[in-house]
Amino acid sequence: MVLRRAVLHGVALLALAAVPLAGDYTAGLIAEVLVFAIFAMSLDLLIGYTGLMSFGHAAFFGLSAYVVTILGVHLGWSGWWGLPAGVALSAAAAAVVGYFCIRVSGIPFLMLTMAFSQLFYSVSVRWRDVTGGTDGLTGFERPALFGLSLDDRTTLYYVIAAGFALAYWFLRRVIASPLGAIFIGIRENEARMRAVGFPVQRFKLIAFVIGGGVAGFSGALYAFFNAYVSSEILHWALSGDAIIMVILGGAGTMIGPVAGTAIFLLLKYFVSTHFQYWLLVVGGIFIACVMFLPQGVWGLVVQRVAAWKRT
Amino acid sequence: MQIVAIQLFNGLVYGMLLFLMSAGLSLIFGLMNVVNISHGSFFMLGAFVAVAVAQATGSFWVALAVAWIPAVALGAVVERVFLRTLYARGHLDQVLLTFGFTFVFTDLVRWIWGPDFRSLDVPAALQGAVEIAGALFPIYRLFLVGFGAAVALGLWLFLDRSRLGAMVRAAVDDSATAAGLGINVSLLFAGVFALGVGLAALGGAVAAPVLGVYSGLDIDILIPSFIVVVIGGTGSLRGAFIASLFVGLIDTLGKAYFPDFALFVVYLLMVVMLLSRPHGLFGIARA
Amino acid sequence: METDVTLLRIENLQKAFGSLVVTRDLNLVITAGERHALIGPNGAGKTSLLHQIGGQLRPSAGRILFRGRDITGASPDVVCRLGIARTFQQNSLFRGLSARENVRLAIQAHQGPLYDPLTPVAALREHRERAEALLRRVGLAEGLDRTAASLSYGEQRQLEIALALASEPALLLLDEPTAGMSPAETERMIELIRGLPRSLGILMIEHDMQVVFSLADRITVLYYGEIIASGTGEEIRADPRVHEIYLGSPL
Repeated sequence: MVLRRAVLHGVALLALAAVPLAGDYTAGLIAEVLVFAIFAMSLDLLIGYTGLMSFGHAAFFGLSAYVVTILGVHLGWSGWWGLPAGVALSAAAAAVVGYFCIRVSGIPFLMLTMAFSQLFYSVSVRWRDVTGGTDGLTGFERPALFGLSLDDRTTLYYVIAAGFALAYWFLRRVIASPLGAIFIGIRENEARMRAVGFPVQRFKLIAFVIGGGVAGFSGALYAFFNAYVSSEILHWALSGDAIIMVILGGAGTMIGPVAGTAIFLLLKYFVSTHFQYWLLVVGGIFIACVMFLPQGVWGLVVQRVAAWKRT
Repeated sequence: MQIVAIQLFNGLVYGMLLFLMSAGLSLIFGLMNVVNISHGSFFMLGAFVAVAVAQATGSFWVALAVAWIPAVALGAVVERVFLRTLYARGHLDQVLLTFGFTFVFTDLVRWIWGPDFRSLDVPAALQGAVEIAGALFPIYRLFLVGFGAAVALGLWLFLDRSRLGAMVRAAVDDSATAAGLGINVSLLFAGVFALGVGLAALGGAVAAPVLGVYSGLDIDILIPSFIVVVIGGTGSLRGAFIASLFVGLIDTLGKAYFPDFALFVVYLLMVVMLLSRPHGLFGIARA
Repeated sequence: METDVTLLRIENLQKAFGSLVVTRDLNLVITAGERHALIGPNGAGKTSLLHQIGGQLRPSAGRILFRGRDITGASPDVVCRLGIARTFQQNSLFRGLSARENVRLAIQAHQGPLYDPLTPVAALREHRERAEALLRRVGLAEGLDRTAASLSYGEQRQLEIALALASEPALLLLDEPTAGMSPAETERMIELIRGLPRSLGILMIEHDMQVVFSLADRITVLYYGEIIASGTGEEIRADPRVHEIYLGSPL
C-alpha cells in the first residue's frame, strides 16, 4: 500500500518533470492548470474536508496576486519577497473575513463569504492608482532563480510545478494530520465535535486561514505566470470557477480538484474557440454533474476502484 | 436640508428595489432552506425583457406588465425539473444547482441581447419632477417608492390574510407538519420559487430606468441583497423589508457623504450586525 | 451512598421558549458516583434539561454548578472538557468515518494534539489502542473499520457511549440509551452501563422502567418542566403523585 503510493507519486513527479518536452504551448497550458489546481485544492480543504461552503475564495487568490504585482511594480520588490508577503497577507485577510463569517454557518456563511469577496473586487476596481482597476497592472518583472529568469518558459514551468508539488504535499499532510482529522470531524458532524470537546469555531477559522494562505500561494504563482493582474482575478466568477473545479473533479479528495481544474480549463479553451458563449456549456455540464455525478469525476473513479477491489 | 432630503429619498428608492430582490430570496430561503444564487439573474432577465418589449411595443407599461412572465416560467422549470429532483439530497446540492444556472443565464442573456449597456426610458407620464419644500423629486422615483410599498403591502396581505399565504407560513414554520396537514408542500415550493423570481424580474424591470441594463447587473444586485438577508434575518419578510430600506439608506448616504469609504459602509453595518445579532434583526436560529 | 461529594448542583433552573416553559424552577443535586435516572412522560422537559447541562441550550434563568464551578450557559466543548460527557437521544455520530476513527477523534479532543498539522494520524498509536480498548468495552470488538453509518442501530447506540466515555468524564449524561433497541440489545446495554466504574456519576433519561429500577440509585420524576418527586426507587414507587401520572403503568 505505502510502496504503491510512493511509486505512484514518483511516476507523477516524473511526468511533471517531463512536461517541457512536450513544447512551450503544452507546458504553458499545464502550468496554468497547476496554478489553478493549487487554488482549487485550497478551496477543497474548506468545501470538501471541513464542510465550509466558501463562495468567495477568489479574494485570497487575487489579493496575493495583487500584492506580488503591486510590490514589484510600485516598490520594485523581487517576486521572491512578494510571494511570502502575498501568502501572509492572504492568510491575514482570511483570518479577518473568517472571523466574521464563521459566526454563521451553512447558507448564511455562503452568502457572507460571497459578499466579502465582492468587497475586495470593488476595492480593486476603485483604487485605480494602485491596482490599475479594470485595465490591470502591467510591468511586473518576473524574478530570477539561480541566475535563470522566470521569463524563460521552462524555468517558469519548473517553478510552478515545484510550487504545485509543495502545495500538494502540504495539504496532504494537513489532511492526514490530527488537525485535518478535526476538520473532517467538523464536516461530518459539527454538533458532535462540540459535544466531545472541540472548540469548533476556532478550528473552522484555522481551516479558513490555511485555505486562504494556500489560495494566496497560488495567486502569487499566478502573478509569476501572467506578469499581469487585473480586477478580474478578484471577480466572483473566479470563486465560481473554483467551486466548479472542485465539484466537477470531486470534493473531499486530493486528486479531484486537480482533475476538475484540468477538465475545466481544457473545456474552456476547447469550447471557447468554437463557441463564444462557453459559460453556457460549462454551466450545463456543472448542473448535470451536480444532478447525476455529485461525487465528481475522481469520486467516481475512487468508487469504481473500491467496487472492483471488493469483487 | 434639501440635499439631505433628496439623499434620504434616493436611499428609500434603492431600498425598495432591494426589497423586490430580497423578498423572494428570503421567502425561498425560509420555505425551502435554499438560497437561490441565480436570483440576481432573474432580476437581470426581467430588466432585459422589459427593454426588449418596450422597444418592440413602444410602451413602458406593456413592458412592465409582461417582464415577469419569462422569469416565472423559467423559475417554475428550474424548480420542477431540477431543484425538485434533489429534495432528497442536502440543501447544498440545490444551492449548487442554482449556482450553475447563474452561468447559464449570464451567457444566455449575452447571447440574446449582446454585451452592451442598455437603458430603458422613463414613460412620458412619469417624466419630470415635483417640487416639495424646495427640493425636486423625480416622479419616476416617487413611483418606485409607491410601487415597492404596494408590493410589500400586497405580499403582507397575501401571507397574512389569504388561505394560500397561511399555508406558506405553516410550511415555513415546519414543512413536515404542514405536509401532514394535507398541504401540498412540493407544489407550494414551486409556487413560492416562481413568485420569488417573478418579483425579482419585476424589480429588474422597474429598476431598469434607474440602474441601467447590462450583463453583470445580476451580481451587482445579488450581493447587496445577500447583505440585506443577512441583516434582516434569513426567512423573515419583515426583516427583509426593514433591512432593505436600512441598507438602501446607509449605502446611498455613505456614497453621498463618505465617497471614499462608501464601499465599506454597508459591510461595516453587516459586521456590526454579525457581532451583535448573528441571526439578524428578525432571524431565528436554524439548524 | 458511600461518598457525599456534590458533583452537579442545579439551582432554580428556568427555561422557556416564548410562553412554553420546559424547565420550571428546577433544583437537583447529583453526588459523585451517583446513578440518577430522570423519568417522566413525553414533553416533561427531560432532554431540555440534559441540553442545558451539556451546553446545547442556554437556560433562561438559574444556575448550574459542576464541582462547584458555574457552568451555566457554557458552550458544549467547555462543558465536555470540564468533565461532563453525553450521548444523544438520536444517534449523533461521524457517520462517514470508521467506528475506530469516531472514538479516536473523541480521545483526541481530550488528550490532544489539537494543532499539529504535519504528524500523520496513523502514527498516534496510543490513540488507536485506547480507541480499540474503549470499543471493546462497549461491546464493539468487531468491524472497527466499518463506517458508523454502516453499523446496526444497536451498535450505533454502543458507539455513542464509547464517544462519551472517551473524554474520561466525571459525569455521564445518557439520553435514552436503550431507545429503539431489541430486548436482547437492551439487556446488553444495561450490563454495559452497570459495568461502568462506580466513581462515574450518571444522569440518565430512560423510559424503560425495568432499566431505571435496576440501574438507578435515585430517580427524579419530571412533569411539565417541574420535579414532582425525587428519591430512591422505593420512595418513587410509593409516591402517589407519580402513580397519578403513570396511571396504569406498572411501577
